[in-house]
Amino acid sequence: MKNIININSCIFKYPHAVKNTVNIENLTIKDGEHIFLKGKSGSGKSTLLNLLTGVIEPQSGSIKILDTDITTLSASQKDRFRGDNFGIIFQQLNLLPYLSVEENISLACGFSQKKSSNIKDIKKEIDFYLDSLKIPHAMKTKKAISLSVGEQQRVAVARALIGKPKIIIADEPTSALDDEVKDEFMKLLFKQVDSQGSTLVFVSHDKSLSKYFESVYNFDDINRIEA
Amino acid sequence: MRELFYLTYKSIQNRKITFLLSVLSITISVVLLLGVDKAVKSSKAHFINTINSTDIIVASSNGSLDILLNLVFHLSDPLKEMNYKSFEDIKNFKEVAWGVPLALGDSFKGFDVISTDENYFKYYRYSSSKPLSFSQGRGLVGFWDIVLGSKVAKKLHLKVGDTIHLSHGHGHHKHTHKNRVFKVVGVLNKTMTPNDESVFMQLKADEAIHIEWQSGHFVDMHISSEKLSHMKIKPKHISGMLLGLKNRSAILGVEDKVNHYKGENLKAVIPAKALSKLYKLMKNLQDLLMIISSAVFIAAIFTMLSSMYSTLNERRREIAIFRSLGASAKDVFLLFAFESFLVVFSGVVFGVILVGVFGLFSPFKLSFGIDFYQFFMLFCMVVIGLLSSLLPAFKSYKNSLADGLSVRM
Repeated sequence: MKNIININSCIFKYPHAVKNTVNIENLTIKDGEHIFLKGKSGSGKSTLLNLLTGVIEPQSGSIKILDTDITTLSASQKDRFRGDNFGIIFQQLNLLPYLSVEENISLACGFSQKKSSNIKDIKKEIDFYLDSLKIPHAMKTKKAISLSVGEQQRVAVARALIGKPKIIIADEPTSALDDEVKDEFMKLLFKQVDSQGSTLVFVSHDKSLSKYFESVYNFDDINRIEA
Repeated sequence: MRELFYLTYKSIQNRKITFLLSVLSITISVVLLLGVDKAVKSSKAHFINTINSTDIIVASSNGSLDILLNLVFHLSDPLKEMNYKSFEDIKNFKEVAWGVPLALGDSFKGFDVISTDENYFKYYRYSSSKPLSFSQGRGLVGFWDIVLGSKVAKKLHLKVGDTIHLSHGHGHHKHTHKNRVFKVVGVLNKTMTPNDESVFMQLKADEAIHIEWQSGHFVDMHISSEKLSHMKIKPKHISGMLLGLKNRSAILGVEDKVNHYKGENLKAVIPAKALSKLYKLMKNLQDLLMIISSAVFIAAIFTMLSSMYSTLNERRREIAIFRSLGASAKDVFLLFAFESFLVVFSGVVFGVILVGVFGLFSPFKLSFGIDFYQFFMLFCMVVIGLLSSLLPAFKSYKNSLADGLSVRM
């Protein structure tokens, strides 16, 4: 299998910080893999996600994604690259409260030409994701703010998946969910990610989620920060 | 880009009240600034045109403002009288097309009485060369005829056919000429000039009723009004005269001729020039009004900025979402800048419309359009609004770079 993410000798330090926040010798993720990065909050996980998606730039090292070293891209190229190739799910508050469910989902295509060109009929596509993520169609026109947290997270998954980006990044997406809802959420997420062949990078402090993944990394083992 | 417009629209819709209040505060300041400017310009035009088509005003006084205030605005102390003979002389200058005598000093129930002749209504022009017109009746023809300004007729409930008695002098030394009955023959249309508050009578009738006055005392000479009107009475003195020339280019020559008139000491005043001079007195007040209006605009900008800054924090989350979907920090900047532009721009547009609508119903009938200076002023307002909006936009740009995709709430 082809490498989809390859990080090499990557160092990132926040300005004015004493220690490096991220120091990764090597991290390779293969196409279609589901990996679980386990780690406490404050261990630099979110910083790594910002690096992967090109929001911040490392002081040294390379970050190769889909054969592109994103550290060589300009700021606007990085933004376009992020919009085209990533689907991102946050811990909570993923949705714009003043947009409807439908509008929130299609927003992903509004910012990426690649995603919208991957789609023939946006209405049908939205319906498809609503069905597969078990979101009632009646909610389509409802404002995001009127949904439960579980529903909101599922809409966030739909938005991350629409347009078939190669990489799905999930940053603690289940931490605001109850245990039963959590299990259903994980199953739906996996089913959908698999069916469109996306790579999943899942970051969480919740060890109990390890069972869903084939590869589990301890973030502290990857990120070598001198004590 | 289309996405940004749509999101701005949606985001504004979500914060309707704040948005509308910001727009309203800009609208109010535009109404003030534009309204004051329009009112000032219109009142200036109106003021300067209180009298026009009269080329020269002549009186026997040294101050041109005194002459103007007295003969046109019916204010200030009485002028030194000039001889009626001088009036006849000047009227017969070869350059002169017409001359109208004016004598002021009497009052009728608080309104000024202007003694003149029928030519006053023929030659007096105001505004854009509009002649005086009658809402009822006609001008002065008969000896005991009276014409009323619109306000006089309205206030005193007088109409054509009514009869009145005139009093002599102002204030305490008033004496009513009870034995002389005047008849209202005409009422003027509203002009928004001092004519509205004037009572017009024949100069010869004015002279006639004063025949029985000798060194300030009334002496009954038992002359009937009928007989009086047929007596050959020639006025001796008048307050001043209005002159129209055959050719306006002769204006300076005639001015000079009048100023060096042999018979007595006379002064020629060019009304347009004197009016502009008088108008300068009001300039400071208008400048003050403009300064206050500008301050209101600055306050409105601060209102907008404070409302934008207050939403900045709660919108950090929103911005992180945009960023995660591929929006650049530049897009975030544009989003905020565009929103403030909308506030300022719609405020200005509403302001212009409101001023236009008010203008149509104002007594001066302000024009709906705006002149170049006003356009420039509005343009500056939009630019100032846009420049100041760059502050919150820049702040959100910095936030979005610092927060990345992870906002710690």
